[in-house]
Amino acid sequence: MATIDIEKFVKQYGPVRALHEVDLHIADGEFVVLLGPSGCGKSTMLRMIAGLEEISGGVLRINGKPMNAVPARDRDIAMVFQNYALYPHMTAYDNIAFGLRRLKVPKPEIDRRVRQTAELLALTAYLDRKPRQLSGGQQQRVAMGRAMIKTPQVFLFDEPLSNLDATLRDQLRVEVKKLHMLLRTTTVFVTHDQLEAMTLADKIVVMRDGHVEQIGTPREVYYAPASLFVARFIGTPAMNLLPMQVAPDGARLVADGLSIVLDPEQAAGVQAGQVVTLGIRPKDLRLAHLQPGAERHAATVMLSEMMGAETLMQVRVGATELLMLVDDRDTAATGSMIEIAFAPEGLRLFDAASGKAIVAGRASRAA
Amino acid sequence: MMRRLGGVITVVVLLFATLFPVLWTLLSSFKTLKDIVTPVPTLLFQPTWQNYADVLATPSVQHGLANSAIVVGCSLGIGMLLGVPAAYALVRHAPHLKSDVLFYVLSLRFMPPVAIAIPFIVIYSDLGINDTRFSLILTYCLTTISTIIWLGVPAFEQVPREIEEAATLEGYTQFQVFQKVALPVAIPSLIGAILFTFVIVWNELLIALSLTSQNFTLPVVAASFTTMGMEVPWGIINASTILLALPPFLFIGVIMRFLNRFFRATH
Repeated sequence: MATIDIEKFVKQYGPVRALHEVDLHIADGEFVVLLGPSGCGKSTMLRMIAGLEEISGGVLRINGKPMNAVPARDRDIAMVFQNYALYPHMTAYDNIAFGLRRLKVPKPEIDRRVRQTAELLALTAYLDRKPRQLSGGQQQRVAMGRAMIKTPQVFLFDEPLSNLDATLRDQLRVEVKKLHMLLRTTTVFVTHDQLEAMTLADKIVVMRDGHVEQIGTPREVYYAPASLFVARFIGTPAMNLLPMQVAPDGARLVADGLSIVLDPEQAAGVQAGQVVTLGIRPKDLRLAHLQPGAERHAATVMLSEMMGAETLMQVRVGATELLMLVDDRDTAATGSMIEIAFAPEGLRLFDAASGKAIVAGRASRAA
Repeated sequence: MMRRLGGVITVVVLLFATLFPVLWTLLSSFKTLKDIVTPVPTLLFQPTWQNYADVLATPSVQHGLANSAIVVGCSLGIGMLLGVPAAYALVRHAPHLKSDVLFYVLSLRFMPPVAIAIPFIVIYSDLGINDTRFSLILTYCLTTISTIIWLGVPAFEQVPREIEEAATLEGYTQFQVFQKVALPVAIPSLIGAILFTFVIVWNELLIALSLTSQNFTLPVVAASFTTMGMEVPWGIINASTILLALPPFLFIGVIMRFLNRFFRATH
């Protein structure tokens, strides 16, 4: 059980700064996901917490105690690596038991705990095998067993599922979630897969170029992205982002052939003539008859992709192309004319110059 | 099919060309001089141990064998003791020095041995240790340490960094990580490095020839047989050749058995 406090974390590689004064507080038992594209500094940050990378600047505290000078082996942290990092010369059993052996735990106790862990991870049948005789998923489960057996204060996961195929990834993701619900160990999980982040995290830290773009619950980063970067990065299909301008009356947004009324709260955050980017999730574009009372826009269906329960339609309003996600039963044929509405609660405004969200409205208050 | 047949024939020819001289030497070492010098080579003959008995009874051979064992054993031991940790340290803790050190270590092998030998004779004479096993061990350590570093670096580079990091996070010290993780994973490649180094120093002739007159090694003795006199003692030469070649073979055998046991034990 542990809290982690990170203050002004800096990582410097010669003249290159990989991490810029990052602050993060992780509560006891929390599952935090560091999310971002490769090279954003998320793995570096994880390795600094582990003690595998030197902290160039800032303070790391675990349970309030400064950890900067504590070597990795004394931090009581367990880590699961992307490439499993199992000891190739040892069996699965010995891999899991390796940490306990150092602690001089009595043999029967080691045996009991290894078998219990193996049971939990469905590895009992494979304990005698060497890593190379195991599948990728089994290897990663062994690595998880090795990490959890000594009940560390903190779990770190460095893209543990990236090397697995899609089905296995889904299965193991569920196992990681279950394990966390069972053990309630403070966990930091690094990934570039936003779906993984959304499904696992209590709190997502979206990172870019060594900076934190946003810290929030999965709902917050999904519904109220703090910047255009987060808006683009989170969500499949991606959020519609439309360059627009605030009309002279200050109450509408206009673009080529498209004009959208703002609710007063949002209108208060912008000035007439300001250039903004309007963001709206494909799910928040509705067929007009399902959004009574809202402003209607005539649209042409350009393309529709049936995705199972829902259909993704590409529609054109004026000169603007939009993606909308509708219930499959409401699908309109390609080429047909429909009327659509923008769900007012789904409208997000970003300053076109800075890329930052313009704070107004309900969802932004939640963030 | 034809290509496979061609391959088989090539291999057989190459094997014959490689192994036949060795086989002939082995056969000749069991022949009497009369059987060896006969113009028509004989495959059927009365085998004799006499050549081996003669070789082993020769005081210079006994002396050379003992010297070789001691000198090669010590220099190889020191080479492993210093070279293996040095290679590991270069890979993990001083990667920025790696290419320079590797070049330096390789450059030790650029010089012709004879050119090194003469300054060494002067230095060792000044120190009063010329023509001793100690000075020879010292000189051979240059070869063993440098060769083991040179071949040990790639061996440790094959060890994934993450498994060492995993062991570190399990609370093991740097030395324990080296001993329990890096070394066992690198050992198959390291064994190759050690064998190679052994063969180099065991077969070394020129430095030993220059640095010793009393404390000579086995290759020096074997070389001296060829200049023994008018009547060339072919049987004895063949027997001493086999004796000279035997230790590397045995050494490889022992190491292989050790390897097998090692990997079964850590199951």
